[in-house]
Amino acid sequence: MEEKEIVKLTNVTKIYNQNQPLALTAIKNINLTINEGEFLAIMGESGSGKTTLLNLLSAMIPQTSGEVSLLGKKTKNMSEEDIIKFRFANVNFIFQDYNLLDNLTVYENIALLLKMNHIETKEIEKQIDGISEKLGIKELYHKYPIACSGGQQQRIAIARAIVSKVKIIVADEPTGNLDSANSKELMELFKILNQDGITIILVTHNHQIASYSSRFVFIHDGEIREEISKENKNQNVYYKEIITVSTRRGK
Amino acid sequence: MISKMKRKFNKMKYSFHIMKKLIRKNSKNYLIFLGYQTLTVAIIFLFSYLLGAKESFLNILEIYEGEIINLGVESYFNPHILVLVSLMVLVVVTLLGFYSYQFFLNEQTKLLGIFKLSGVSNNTIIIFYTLQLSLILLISIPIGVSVGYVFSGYVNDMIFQSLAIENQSIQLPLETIIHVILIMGAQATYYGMISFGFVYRYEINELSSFKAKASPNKIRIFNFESKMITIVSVVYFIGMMIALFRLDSPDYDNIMLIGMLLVIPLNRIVFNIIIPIINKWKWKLKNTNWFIALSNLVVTISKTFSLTLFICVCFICVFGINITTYEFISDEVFSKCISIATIIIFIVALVFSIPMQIRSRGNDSYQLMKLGKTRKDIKQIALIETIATIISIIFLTMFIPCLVLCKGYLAGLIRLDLIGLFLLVYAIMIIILMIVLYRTFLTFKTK
Amino acid sequence: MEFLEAHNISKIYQLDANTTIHAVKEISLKVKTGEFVCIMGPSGSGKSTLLNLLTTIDIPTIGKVCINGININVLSSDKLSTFRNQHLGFIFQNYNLMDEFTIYENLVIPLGMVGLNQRTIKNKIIDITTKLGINEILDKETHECSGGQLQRVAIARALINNPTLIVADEPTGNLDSYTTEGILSIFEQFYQEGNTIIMVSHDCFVASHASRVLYLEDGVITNEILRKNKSKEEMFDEIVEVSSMSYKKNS
Repeated sequence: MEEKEIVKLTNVTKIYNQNQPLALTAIKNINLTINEGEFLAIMGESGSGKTTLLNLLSAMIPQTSGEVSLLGKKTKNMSEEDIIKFRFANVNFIFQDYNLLDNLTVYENIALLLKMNHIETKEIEKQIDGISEKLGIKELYHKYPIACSGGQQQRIAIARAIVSKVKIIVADEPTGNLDSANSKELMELFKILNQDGITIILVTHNHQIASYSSRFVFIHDGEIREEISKENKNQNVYYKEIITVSTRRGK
Repeated sequence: MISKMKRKFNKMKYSFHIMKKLIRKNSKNYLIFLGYQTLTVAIIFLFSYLLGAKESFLNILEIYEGEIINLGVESYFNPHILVLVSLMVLVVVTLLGFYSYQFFLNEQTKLLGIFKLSGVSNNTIIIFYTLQLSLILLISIPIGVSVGYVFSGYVNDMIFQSLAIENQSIQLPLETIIHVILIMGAQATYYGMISFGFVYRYEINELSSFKAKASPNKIRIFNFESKMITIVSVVYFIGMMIALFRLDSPDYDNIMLIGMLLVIPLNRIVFNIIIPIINKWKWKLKNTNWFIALSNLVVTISKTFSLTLFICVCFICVFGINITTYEFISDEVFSKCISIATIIIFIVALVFSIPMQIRSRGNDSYQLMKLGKTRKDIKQIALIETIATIISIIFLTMFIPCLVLCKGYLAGLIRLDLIGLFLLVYAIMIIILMIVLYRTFLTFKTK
Repeated sequence: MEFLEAHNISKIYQLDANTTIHAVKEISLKVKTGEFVCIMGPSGSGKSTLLNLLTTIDIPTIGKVCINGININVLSSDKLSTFRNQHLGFIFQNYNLMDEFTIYENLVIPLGMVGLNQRTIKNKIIDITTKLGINEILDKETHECSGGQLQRVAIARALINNPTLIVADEPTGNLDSYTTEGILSIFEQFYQEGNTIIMVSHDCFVASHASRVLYLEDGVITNEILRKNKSKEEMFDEIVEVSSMSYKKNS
């Protein structure tokens, strides 16, 4: 089966505040290809460039040098509007700070992306009910995000990302505010989505969470240092490999 | 061991140091509050001057009595009007101060929380806030008094011009100075009370968790109790409207009173009928830009509701004064003075305080772009929101005053030229507000 | 009489006419000097509320809390601030540092605003920051430091007056595993010196460093695990067991 390239980074570098005294090279010359149907976990210390890499993979920020192509199209050739439209059609985000709209109720926040896809109001209700029941946020429908706890906000952000069907889900620390039970549930949900063909790119610093992936990448100081594939390994074996690989780089 | 005096000295030293740093980093907040305070002082000075100069004016008029053809000149200084106007000025100035200081303090909530957690005593915190306030007053009072002095010169000239007699500068009466000191003292005390409340009521809970308490302006779900209150409000509103228009031989007292009474049920009508209708309606629209804009609108209305209602009440008073001045004063200039003065005060209140309330609105454009909205979409959302907000502000501030106006006109109590002037200024003010709002809504905030 | 005693405390919120929330239900517990207590539980179980009640941040609706024999709920606000300044140190997930100040200025607040001399302040700050390894960043602004460094600054601020009790609410929530280890070893050192720590965390790994773990569900303590002579790994396994038991119960 021919593997379709979803995202490809070629010799990509990202420098913040270029030409200023506080210039920071967040990403150095990275080459990374993500194929359709992969479940990729990115791990690294705080400040290693994980979030920047995620933002580059989804064209949230422009690269300083190198090529980024999404579904075969180079982002250099696309206008800002095209990139936003492309992202909207193909990628759903779970942001680290949730990015929920304060002036919309919880229900409206989840429904917004569906409404932007022109789905009927009644149809929206059906689709949302299933997911919110699973994530335990049904009682929060009429509340505003600011009145919900961190864990609840995180689950709302997850519901919003999952409920509309897209090719790629990008998640930045989606289990940060969840306890082990909810985290496990979420990862099982991701696994099911991945089996249905959705590509998932995940950033985390939890080894157990990372072990649900099919491919693991370790970042240190803006460069990819280690890369493992799960292939046919047992999850436990894969998990131990992940720990070994990341801790030997940690010191 | 450090002596108590040394401790107090050290605390003051560090309070100054912290304040200096904050002013440098948060200069915008300080400047806005300083601007408001200066304006407040100028207004107080101007009106105190008018009140204090009353005697001097009357004395001069006595000298020229024979030469002045205008009758009823004494009624320039009719006590009715002066008291009404002074009261209004006091109310407006108090509220201006109240809002701006509250806003200013709210921006310092995090520092307050850290003070409390670090175990800084409440007295020390109060001293810190008092120092800040003193600095602002120290700068605003001289500037405000100077501005007020210049303006009182203009008013002086205008009055003499209208009397067609030689311009005589009236010396600054002692009463003015006493008056200003009294009002400023009252305001300073009031600010002190607000500071106290702020420091003592603050709960550290807000610092430790992200949870916000259930807000008082929560948009409630329709239930039985709420339905009953809504029905009563609507019936009451309609009843008052009928009463207003069927008033036989009305005078300004009655009209103003009924106008005020109409304001009371407006709260329920907006929150229980209009807002739920908007919330239901926005789902029917295909364009999600409208959806987002209307959701923002609903939150904006809840946040600025009390402010717009206050302005509505003030407008009713303005029209009342207009009617009054017509009754008592035949001279153009003086009544124009009063109208313009009151109009200017409300321009300030409306144009500056509403954006201030909206400034802290949650959704910003970067967020929306991350969710898939293009710049074109964001401009459209800002446009829709601006127009919708302006419409709701016009409705909330002018609907009832217009009813009062109509009734006054039908009863032959209104002077059209003065109202025309007011409406012109209102229109200009709305346009300024529209531009300010559009720019506020279009802000791209970065974390 | 133990160091901290809570007698039958409850926290009840009245949201409106129909909704009453019992965040904490009749909890009694005793904490000895030199204990490292961790409060765990699923999100929404009342962990943060309980922490707030035990440490002067909040007042229970029913019941009382005593530290060193003093009923903290009836202290006047002046005595309360002196008490906090001398005996308590607070650490939060999001550091709660003033972004407008440098690191040094942030640390001055608990010292300068209670009237100490400049020289005393300088010595204390240099002392504590050297101990925590952050004396090099004293002149930097908060946005120039990494998450790990900022949390160390927050800990320095908490420890600067030599408190007997440290209060930590998800102190490692925003940090990666390497930095977490560093923070936890500071905590371990603190309690081995004979001081008390009460911490909230939803992370089993973090909790395994404690000497006593209280598992909270729906405002009630349902489980208690004591360290005694166990190793960290054994502690970790037991904690995971308890949390997965509650997960099975709820699904």
